[in-house]
Amino acid sequence: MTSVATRPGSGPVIQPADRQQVAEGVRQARQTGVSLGAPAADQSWDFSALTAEVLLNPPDMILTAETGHTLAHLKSTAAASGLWLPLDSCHPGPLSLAQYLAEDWSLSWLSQTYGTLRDWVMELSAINDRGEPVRSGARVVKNVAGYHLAPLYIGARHALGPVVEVSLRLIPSPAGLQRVRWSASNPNPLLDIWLQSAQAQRPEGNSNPWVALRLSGAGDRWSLEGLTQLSPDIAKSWADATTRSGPATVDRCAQPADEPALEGRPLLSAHCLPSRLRAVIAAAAEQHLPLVAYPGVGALIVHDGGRGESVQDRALTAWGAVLAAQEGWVRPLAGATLPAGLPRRPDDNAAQLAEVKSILDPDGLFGPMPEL
Amino acid sequence: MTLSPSLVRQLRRAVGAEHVDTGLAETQLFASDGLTLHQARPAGVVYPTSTAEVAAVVAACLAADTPFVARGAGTGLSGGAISDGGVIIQLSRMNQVLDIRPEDRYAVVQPGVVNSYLSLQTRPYGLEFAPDPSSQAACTIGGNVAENAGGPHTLKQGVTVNHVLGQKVVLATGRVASFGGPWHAATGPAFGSFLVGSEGTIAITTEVTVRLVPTPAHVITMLATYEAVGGATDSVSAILAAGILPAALEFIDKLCIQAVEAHLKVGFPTSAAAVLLIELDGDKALNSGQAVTVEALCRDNGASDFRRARSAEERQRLWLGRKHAAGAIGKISPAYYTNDGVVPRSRLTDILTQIYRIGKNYRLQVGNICHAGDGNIHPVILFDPDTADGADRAFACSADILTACLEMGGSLTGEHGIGLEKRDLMPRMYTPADLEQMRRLRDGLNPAGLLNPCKVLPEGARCGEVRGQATLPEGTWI
Ligand SMILES: Cc1cc2nc3c(=O)[nH]c(=O)nc-3n(C[C@H](O)[C@H](O)[C@H](O)COP(=O)(O)OP(=O)(O)OC[C@H]3O[C@@H](n4cnc5c(N)ncnc54)[C@H](O)[C@@H]3O)c2cc1C
Repeated sequence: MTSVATRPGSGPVIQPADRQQVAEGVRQARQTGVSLGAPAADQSWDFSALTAEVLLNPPDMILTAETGHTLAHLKSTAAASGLWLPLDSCHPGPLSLAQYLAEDWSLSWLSQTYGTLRDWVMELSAINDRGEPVRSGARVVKNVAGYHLAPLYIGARHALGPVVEVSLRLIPSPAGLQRVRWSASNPNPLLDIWLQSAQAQRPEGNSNPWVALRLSGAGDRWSLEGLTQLSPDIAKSWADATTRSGPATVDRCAQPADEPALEGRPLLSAHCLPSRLRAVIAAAAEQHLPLVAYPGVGALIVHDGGRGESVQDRALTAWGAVLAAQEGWVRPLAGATLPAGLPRRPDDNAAQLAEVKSILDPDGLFGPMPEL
Repeated sequence: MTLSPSLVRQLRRAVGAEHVDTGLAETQLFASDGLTLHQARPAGVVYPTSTAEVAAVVAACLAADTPFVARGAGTGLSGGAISDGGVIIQLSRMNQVLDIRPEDRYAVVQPGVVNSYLSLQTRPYGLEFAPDPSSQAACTIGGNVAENAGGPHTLKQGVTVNHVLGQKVVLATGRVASFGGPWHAATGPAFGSFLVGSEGTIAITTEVTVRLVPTPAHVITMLATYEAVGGATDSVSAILAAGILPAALEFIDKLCIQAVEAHLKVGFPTSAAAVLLIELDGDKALNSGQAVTVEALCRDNGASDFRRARSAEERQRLWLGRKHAAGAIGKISPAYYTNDGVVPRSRLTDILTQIYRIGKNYRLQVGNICHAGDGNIHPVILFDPDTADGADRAFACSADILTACLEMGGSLTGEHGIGLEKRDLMPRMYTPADLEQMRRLRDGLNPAGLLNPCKVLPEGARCGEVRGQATLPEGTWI
């Protein structure tokens, strides 16, 4: 039977012990007319008990897991077989797959090479508004049979129905990784290093020297760090040659290292074109906004630096004006309330998703779609 | 099977009278796609040049309660781009590359741009569009988006959905909408990504923003020869298990090798049971080391010969052989049926064994080409359409092969889509609730049911059978 616990300061939380209980919870909610989901629904989910054994047959390079497992657990399960799930997150604190998927925390230092979560989900199982298990995709690394619903569910905070299991594509763990890091008192020389690595200064025979890359900081403390697969001596000499801010630190790492966690609460992700990122970062630095930027994809995450009061609405609005001028836009993260002046996604995605929501959840059983 | 005079008038107004065809001969040209086993003649064909024209055509068809289907090059292999008595929206005149932004790694194209033409345009910037279906010399980006096309190099680079950043579309309701844009790695729910692979049943794509990737600066292409099929498939597992992710890992069996050599003479060994075409790309030092490992693994698993392409020409010839392997079968058989299924990678040897057995049961020869690294098989079934049950046996053989894929935990299709061809097999892969969820979504987004009807989901009596040849009245000029 579905157990209902209560968290201090919030509504009831449903903790299903297995998928059948998720389905039963939905059917009960349907009968009683309460809404399920997070955060604005009457009740919210806690999927931490959905941890049936992870399925992985290494030669198939596909991993199937219920959504109570943590991302870290899935990555270490893959790593034990020499495989890699090239997804990461700068989210502070461990994330279950359900949480990772609900918000889509997959913008990371790996995104420029490996994209985001929706590039790796091959099969997704959810419970529909009738309390039935529904699945799309297959447990293979390539499949186009039928409509692939995963891109609609990822980041929808379970508002189209609770997601209970996913199958993820894996790749062989890359060999011979180096971790390279530079520091500087402002972001400009670090952006130069990235540009040079992406263009003229790239070592012979290598089209994209980066497996992962990020620039982070605030005020006068900035760093550029990443993972590269170049041989150690090439990585060292290239790193030294391309930096104007002193030699880089180069460490060997046996396995792909995880992205360092944010030192604050994430507020928003922002997107512009890579060529516009310098102006957007400069404006953020001017407003003392702490951030992590992913230069290869022109994206960044603004956080509160660990002290909520350090980010003023005024500073965000001033920065937002520069972002808008650079044709960028923001997406609020984890339900953050953002000042109205920030530019929002300029396409028809939100309107069309509202339509999808009305088709798949006409009675609004699963709570509202997140603001996009 | 004729359009109402008022609809013809509306269509002429939308795209210009000279760009509307309703004659028997002109419409017959569109009676099939690459899978000629399914045939249905449309009542009209229109050739728009812009989003606004497509929207006007859609509005006219909706008002006249007439089905409409988008079409690119018609190379699809699942009967997706055909219409029984409706209007074909032929997008070949929307063939412009609108913008290339090398600094931001994207291009904006119209849907009728041919796949390989796009990469030709971007190559001077050291960039390319990664999805490379074997039909790339003809198929269009719009068709690639609709089918979520793959290709030999999608093992490392991913399939079309991983390379589409944005789309402008005309929805089934006639509304023009845009999804995504030039931004990379946007997270959160994405309607545009859902559209990729929806087989032109939810929207018509009229503009696509694609991601461009750097052209690999260093490539090693290798050919391993085997006297037994199992050696080749075991080598595939061994290479991936060694932590190597090749750019491409392709399998070709004896029948296809012989067809290629009879036709193109690219240098494949005709006595071999199978060959593997293996390509590594990326860092030169890394590639060189991995190539040594790959050779050792192939030899350990029974490769009797192993060679590296020594020049760009030799590499091109090997790829020419691979990309024309299915077509070459046409030189040795009056007809053939190219199939598409997927198995978990570890079941590659098992499925090939099954395929040869199933072929024998139906007294049919079956050649095999596989995107082996992806577990994506393309059995090519040879048959004689002039024998009474030739096509029927080919269909039954195909259904058995696909059922075997499903029994091994695989899928009905890795890249060619469901279309009409596999529509009725969908209940073997999905539960009634799975299919109902897909149907709710499709019907909700395509409420009139006029955009590419009767495809993807089983429809029962609602849709007729369009298998077989569509016959023209005697004396028709074509
Ligand atoms: C020899 C050969 C080799 C092939 N190799 C491969 C391969 O390696 N990988 C692979 O994935 N496929 C392959 N294919 C299949 C085929 O080429 C692909 O599916 C291709 O993407 C179809 O493109 P097209 O322009 O020909 O589309 P069409 O055949 O014209 O249409 C295919 C489907 O897309 C829809 N469609 C087309 N354009 C649009 C649009 N603008 N908006 C909405 N819907 C649209 C149609 O309605 C139809 O449902 C091969 C085919 C052949 C004949």
